Amino acid sequence: MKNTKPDCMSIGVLVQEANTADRCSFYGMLFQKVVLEAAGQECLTMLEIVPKASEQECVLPRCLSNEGIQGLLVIGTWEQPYLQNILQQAEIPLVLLDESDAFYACDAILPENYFGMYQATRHLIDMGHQNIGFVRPASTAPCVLDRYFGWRCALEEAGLAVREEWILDSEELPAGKRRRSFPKGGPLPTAFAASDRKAALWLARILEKRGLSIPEDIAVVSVSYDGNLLPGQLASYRLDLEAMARRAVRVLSKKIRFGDNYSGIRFVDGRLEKRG
Amino acid sequence: MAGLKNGVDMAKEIRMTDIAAELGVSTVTVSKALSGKQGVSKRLRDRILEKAAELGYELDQKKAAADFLHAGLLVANRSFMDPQSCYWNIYQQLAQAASQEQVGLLLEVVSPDAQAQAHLPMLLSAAKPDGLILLGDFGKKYRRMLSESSGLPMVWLDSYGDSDAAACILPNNIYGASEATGCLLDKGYRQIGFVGSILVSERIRSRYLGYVNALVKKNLPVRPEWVLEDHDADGRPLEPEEFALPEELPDAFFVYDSLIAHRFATRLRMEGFRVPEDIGISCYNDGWNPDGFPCYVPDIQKMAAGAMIMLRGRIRDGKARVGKLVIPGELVQ
Amino acid sequence: MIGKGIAKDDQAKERLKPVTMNDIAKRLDVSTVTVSNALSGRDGVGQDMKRKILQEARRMGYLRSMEESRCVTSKEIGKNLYQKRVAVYIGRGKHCLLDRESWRFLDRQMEQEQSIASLILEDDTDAGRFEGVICVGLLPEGRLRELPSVVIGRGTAPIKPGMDYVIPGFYAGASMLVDVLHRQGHRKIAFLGSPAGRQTLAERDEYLGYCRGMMLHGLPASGWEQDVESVVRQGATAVIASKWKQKHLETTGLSRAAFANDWDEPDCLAYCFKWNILFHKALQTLHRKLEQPGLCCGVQTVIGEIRQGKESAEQAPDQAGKERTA
Repeated sequence: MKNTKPDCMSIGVLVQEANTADRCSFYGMLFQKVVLEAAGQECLTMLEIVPKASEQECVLPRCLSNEGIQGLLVIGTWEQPYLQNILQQAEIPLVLLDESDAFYACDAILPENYFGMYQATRHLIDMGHQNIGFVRPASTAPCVLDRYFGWRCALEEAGLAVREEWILDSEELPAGKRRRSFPKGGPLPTAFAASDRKAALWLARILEKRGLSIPEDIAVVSVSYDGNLLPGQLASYRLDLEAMARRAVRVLSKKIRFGDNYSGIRFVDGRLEKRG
Repeated sequence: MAGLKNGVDMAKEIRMTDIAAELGVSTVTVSKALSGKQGVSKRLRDRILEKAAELGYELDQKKAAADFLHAGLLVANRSFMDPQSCYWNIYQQLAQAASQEQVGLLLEVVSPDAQAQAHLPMLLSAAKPDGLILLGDFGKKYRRMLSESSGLPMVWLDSYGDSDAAACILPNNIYGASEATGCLLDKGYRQIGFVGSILVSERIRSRYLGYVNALVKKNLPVRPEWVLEDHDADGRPLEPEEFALPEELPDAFFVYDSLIAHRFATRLRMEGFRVPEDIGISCYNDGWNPDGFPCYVPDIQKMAAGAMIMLRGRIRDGKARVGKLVIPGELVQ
Repeated sequence: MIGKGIAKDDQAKERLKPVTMNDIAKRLDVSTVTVSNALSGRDGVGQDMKRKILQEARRMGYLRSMEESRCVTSKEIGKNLYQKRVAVYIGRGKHCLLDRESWRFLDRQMEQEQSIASLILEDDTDAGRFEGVICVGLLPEGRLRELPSVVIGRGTAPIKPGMDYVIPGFYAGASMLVDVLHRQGHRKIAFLGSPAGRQTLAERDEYLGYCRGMMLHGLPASGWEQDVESVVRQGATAVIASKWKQKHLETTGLSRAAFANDWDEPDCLAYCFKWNILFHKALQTLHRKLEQPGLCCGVQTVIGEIRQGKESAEQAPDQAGKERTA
């Protein structure tokens, strides 16, 4: 289908099958925002849901062979070989959402994980906490690392101690790595920064077992994407999914219209949401 | 991995990359050349065809490409507004059905303005689809505009179309609602109310009829004060605290939609009732049933697949009178 | 043993040699001029060929060199500032993001072209003449605090909620430098920063970004080294320096990567801050703040560009080869 109306664009949207199951998950919500933003910017969208098998076999998505599709928006974190294959074979502009090309030559829209966790941790510091721990999941994905470093940055800037024993693992680690659970002895932190909601929930359970409550004994902040805080949670840095989706669609439509000159990573800031 | 996957022979697909590798071009170029699409120079196309023949590549792919259809999907903005809306589920299933049936499906979300003023969809001017699928409710004015001005074969999915002969794929609204209400009756409830604004859409009305059917079968009265609204006067869905409850509550309710059921249950709980211990609920499950109420679940996958097949049929022969195709679902306790 | 050592040296040399436009031209069988035009976005290259060249450049790990990049045009910056009656505040202290030399350079350029040198403030005496202020490297002080402001850089204090920042991506940039060095074959990469007492917040971001890059590749991160000797003692083959003009660094023979402004001409691999984009973003944000009083845009990170310097990596393989055969 040749696109005969210049103002209206047709874009493909690539999502992994696993991410379409839960509408409340990060990617579930992000995908919805993308469809709605595209509609708002007068774009027609062709959705392609890629099963895991196709991803592992590096099968090219159908969108690429479709004449009418002028650009492709790729949502989520994919296997690198699959992504590189698409980047090499695609003849249309591409924008990655929540993923970045290892070669930095493709447009990517990323949330501000580093400064996000930094701002959440700073909130704790501004509230007077000096002993702040961190709770992280097992994954070593870049976004998790960014949040860890954001927490560390805030502490180091304020001259506070970064203690290894206060960095807790909310999940079982792969074989060979020792999992750090709640410290048994020594000084306790008065607050924790949790990498995401799941980690915060785990922390709440652990604290409950020890008879500690949030926020009376321990203050908690986290990074969230839907504004759902734990009861008693002090604040969260909320990633702005709508802004990310809007930016991605806008960047893609500019590339389609004006050509392919600048390619780079763009960060989208969220906001710190405090509980009353 | 040999064998068929998504309607395409995997072994053949691998050989397309072989051709590409041998000639030093991209797989996309090879695909275009073999299926006769534009964007490949004549010289390169000849080289590719030559190489394909040399490698023994089966050219049945060409025929498959000719079967490729372009379809447009229209959805009203309102249907997508709620993140938990069943229409998201249906959209996903449609996308998957489309790739299996060799249909390229382009989505256009119709804005409230465009719907109210019955503007022609962008799809018609921007892309030239072979047919349209309409998902959800559109309002009479828009429906009429489509059937008069689009000139394209249309399939109505989960909506009632503009005429008796319109090709529609529907879940079993009346029967399903009746079954779900029957489920409450089997449990012993005799005073059952209905939650749903019957004036808002045909879907709600049909399910209401199913509810009525179940009560009348058991010779029970239908009390109007137990038919509660779930939309306000402007057609906006109500928040839990906004539901208006009657003085005397029945023992149970049938709610036409599981998402609304969740909101309604929240309201009842706000009033101090335990759900389902004090007030039983059953519903029609359109995709999200967090409370686990007994419900009737439509077979969305079959509906999506049916929509694709029906669309092909309509494109092939637009004059045939098709009518409604009802896809059965199942009752889940 | 000696033969093996030399072979490894050659391998290492091949791997660590930076990719040039000639290499790309040879690979694709086109002229160097075509490649140059495609990479810099000039006309004269068809869309298909341009895309092929960009893809190949990416695949081979090509980085633009200093000569090819367009320098910031201070004239553009100056003009925009003048039109919107926005001042640029650089303060008197030592914590300025740009060193004074660089700023004087920009200042002189603007003065020559537009006679608007008075846009650059060192204190708040002229605050009343302006509608907004862009603070470079530090927070607004005195009467400047009353104006809508945007801070370029990390400032000298922790990020305040309610203030707007345009940050040149120190953290992400350091991680990108690690990626490039890793791709060039380096496995022992050290970080060289300022000595204690002179460490800036921006440098801390750079160090953490370096740690992040190393962690992603499963390499151990060095500590925050403060002088060249300790870097050499560690046996590193490459170093990321927060300032490219570090004394004695060129003589060590290590592969260097550093942070620079886009008008600097570092002779090594560098992550360059794109000042025209930083200013553009800051002005854009200020404009929105003027239209919507009370608007807060928060933190905006602007990623710079990685560029290959004039340095060749030929000295490094000796170190690397030596290290491997040892």
